[in-house]
Amino acid sequence: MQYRKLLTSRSAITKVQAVIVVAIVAIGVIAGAYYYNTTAHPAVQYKRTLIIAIPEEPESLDIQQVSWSNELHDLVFQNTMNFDNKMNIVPDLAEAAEFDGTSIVVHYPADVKFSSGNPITAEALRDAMERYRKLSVYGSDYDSVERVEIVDEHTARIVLKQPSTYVWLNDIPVVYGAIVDVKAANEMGDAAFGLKPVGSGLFKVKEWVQGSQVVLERNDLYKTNLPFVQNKGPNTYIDEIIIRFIPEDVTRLSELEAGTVEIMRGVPVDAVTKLKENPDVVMYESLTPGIEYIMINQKVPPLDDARVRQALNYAIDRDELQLTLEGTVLPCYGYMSPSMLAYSSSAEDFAKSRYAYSPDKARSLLAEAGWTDTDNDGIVDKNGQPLTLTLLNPYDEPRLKRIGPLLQSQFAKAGVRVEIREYDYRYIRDQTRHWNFELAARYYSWHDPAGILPYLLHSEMANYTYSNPEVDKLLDEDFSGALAPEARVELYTKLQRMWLEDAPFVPLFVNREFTAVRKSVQGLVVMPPFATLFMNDVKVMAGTGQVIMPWLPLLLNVGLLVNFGCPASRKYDPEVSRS
Amino acid sequence: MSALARYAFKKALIGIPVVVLVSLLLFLIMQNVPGDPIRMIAGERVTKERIEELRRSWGLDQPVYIQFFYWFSKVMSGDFGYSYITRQPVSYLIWSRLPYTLELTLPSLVLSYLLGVPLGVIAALGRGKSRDYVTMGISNFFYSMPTYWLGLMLMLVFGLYLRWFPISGVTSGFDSLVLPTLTYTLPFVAFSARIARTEMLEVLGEDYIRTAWAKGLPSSRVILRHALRNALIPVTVMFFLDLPWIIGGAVIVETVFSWPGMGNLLYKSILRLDYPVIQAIVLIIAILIVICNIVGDIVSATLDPRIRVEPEKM
Repeated sequence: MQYRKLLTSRSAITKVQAVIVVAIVAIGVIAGAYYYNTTAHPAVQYKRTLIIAIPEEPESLDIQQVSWSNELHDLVFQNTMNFDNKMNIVPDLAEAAEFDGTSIVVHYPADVKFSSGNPITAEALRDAMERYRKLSVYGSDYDSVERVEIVDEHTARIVLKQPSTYVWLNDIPVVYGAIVDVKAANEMGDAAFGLKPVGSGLFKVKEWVQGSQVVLERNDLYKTNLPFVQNKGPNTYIDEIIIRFIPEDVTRLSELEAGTVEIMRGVPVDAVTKLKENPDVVMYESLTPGIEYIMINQKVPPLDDARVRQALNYAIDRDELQLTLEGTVLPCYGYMSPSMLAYSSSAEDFAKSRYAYSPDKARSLLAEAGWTDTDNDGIVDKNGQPLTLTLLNPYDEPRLKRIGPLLQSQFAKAGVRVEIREYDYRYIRDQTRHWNFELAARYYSWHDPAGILPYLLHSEMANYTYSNPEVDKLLDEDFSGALAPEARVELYTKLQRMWLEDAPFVPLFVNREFTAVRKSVQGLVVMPPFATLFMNDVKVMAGTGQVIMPWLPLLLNVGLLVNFGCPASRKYDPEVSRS
Repeated sequence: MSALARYAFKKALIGIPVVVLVSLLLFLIMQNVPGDPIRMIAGERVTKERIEELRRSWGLDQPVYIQFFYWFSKVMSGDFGYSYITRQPVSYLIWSRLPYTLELTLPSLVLSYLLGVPLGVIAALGRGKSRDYVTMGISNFFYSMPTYWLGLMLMLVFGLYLRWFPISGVTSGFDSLVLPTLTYTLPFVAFSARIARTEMLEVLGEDYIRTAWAKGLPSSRVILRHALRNALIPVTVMFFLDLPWIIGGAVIVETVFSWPGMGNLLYKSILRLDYPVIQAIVLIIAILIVICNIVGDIVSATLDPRIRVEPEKM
């Protein structure tokens, strides 16, 4: 009623009102300009909170209670040593560490502390290793450790049972081997520690909203000896990092595009090109330390015949796979990735020449094994039975899922009919462990060949179908030995040649993993082999990440125009005013 | 009323073996799924010996019936045990998700009936006319749209392009609720509208409605008092049958909007064969179904005197 009266009031506008309107509009404009100047074009203004979107929530935040690590563990914990971009081992928490083949000596600086304030000492390292041995699924990592000696308060000597590079390469420079505050863990209990663990990383856990996000806050006690970061202390430019779990690709992508998320992991294959063209986004790229491959069951005919397995290797056109996957992979013919230790490019070159794509060679090898196409249907047969194989393909590994039909058509060109069954990756892994498969698309990701290949290809350590005593001998030599890096390159070159002949796998490609980062994030370092994010020098520029509009004053002005401007322009109408 | 109480008590007694049977069945089914949680999570670098060690420590090497009795006796004392995967107490995992789930599903359920029933009634009253076609057409559209697509469209339009609401997550309070609730509600509105329409049409064809019209009663009285009241009885029962499921959450809506609900927890637990979590959630749903069935019966008996007589004869 009141409003209506105002609109239809007899007097259009008084002089006083006019002056008030002008004054308020003017104030609004000035305030708007001021607001715009201070917020949208700051001289030095940083956003204090950084938001990272990752696809999957970890099982636990305690690195000793997980079967896979992620960005959270890298931020909350601190590796004793670390890798630089040439895969050299460099100091991180420790100021130095020496490895002589049978023992590892770790030197901690005198004044390092956990985020809880408890001191990090040689004793703390021993306790953490003991807890890992008991609690972690990878506890057997320390099987080669005889004992941990306390040399002095800040120096520990890890004595090995026999010469071995295992702990030095697979635990000391990796987050799984990071030191945790066992004292705090014992006080809290393992379940509670899994929610709010204490480490010595750049950030510490503030809150975990199950299923949604983890909020990290700066660890002001942080100290590092990393040579490739400038800031060796806490990053005072950032107060909090929020790690959000967004399983859906489109959602994660939208959040990045909207600028509500600064860093995105798990970039979907079909979004790579689009994001590379986005001027607000920088793409960091790194090669996974491992390969995606097809595992072959050697216990079932006709796959027990090496010629058939070799034929499958000839049948795959890896360049076409790369094309289909829009360049997000690197074709791979050997058994190792360039991001792995002891990798040799000449071994890879040899593998490439050994299995250069040739459906004809595949067919002739199959013919040697007795499989020929007698009924001219394109599929080779033997005793009237066509060669039909079943491939287990994981639906939760986007690249493998996508190339399923392509693999099928490539095998068909070589005369092999392949039927695809899609399952959860973990289910497929379990099936292969029980030899309940013919072909299975799989992958691995680990930087040290001694820490992964024996678990896949050693006849006793692994539970798979491949077995070659010669290979076992060579794997043992590295697994329980302390070879020099050059000797290891030679050893794995030799091993790869043997595998190429035995053909237990069909290697397909190495993943290029992408990290999409908004331009507003500066100083980020992404390091191999696991594309670890180092936030030590990161600053987030405010204003560029999100569009800050002078919307408040603008709204004020529009509101004023509506309330005061309209009656002023309205003509006096006695008919309306009467009703 | 005492007859009703006796009836409810009897129903509850029958409910107990149902719940026990459901959990036992589920336990047996889970045991027959290939693999077990430890083997499933154990990555490549885990040795065979370590896997066996961990299975022993979780009691997974025990015979199924021992595992079941151990689990059931603990549940009886209110302890759901620990998740194999996250190593957190199951009760903690459920309690941390429950508020978010209810925040999403309860308003959705209520809203879908509040919107759907009037729509269905409007459609029924205008049967064969344009408003029937329009309301039912729209209902059919939302009912047949895949939730996944609907969610993504709402997200892209109102979240990414218009920026009216947050794209995903739960951190913006009421604002973050709008899009997921809408996605979850719209198909249900369609569903309840269709039920309401069918029931209403059936009642409108009854003799007593013709009598009511013939008596010359005003149409509002005929529709609201005579027709709607009777048509609402099956709708009310439907509501109570839907009620237990709200606790199960909505996997697709939760995934699209990264909503930390029970649906996601259940889905992930099934994928990872996390028995204790699956068992607990299914048990809770089973108990709720029994309770809601009883409540639904009582409510419909209160609404409809014809039903009220029957339990006494049982």
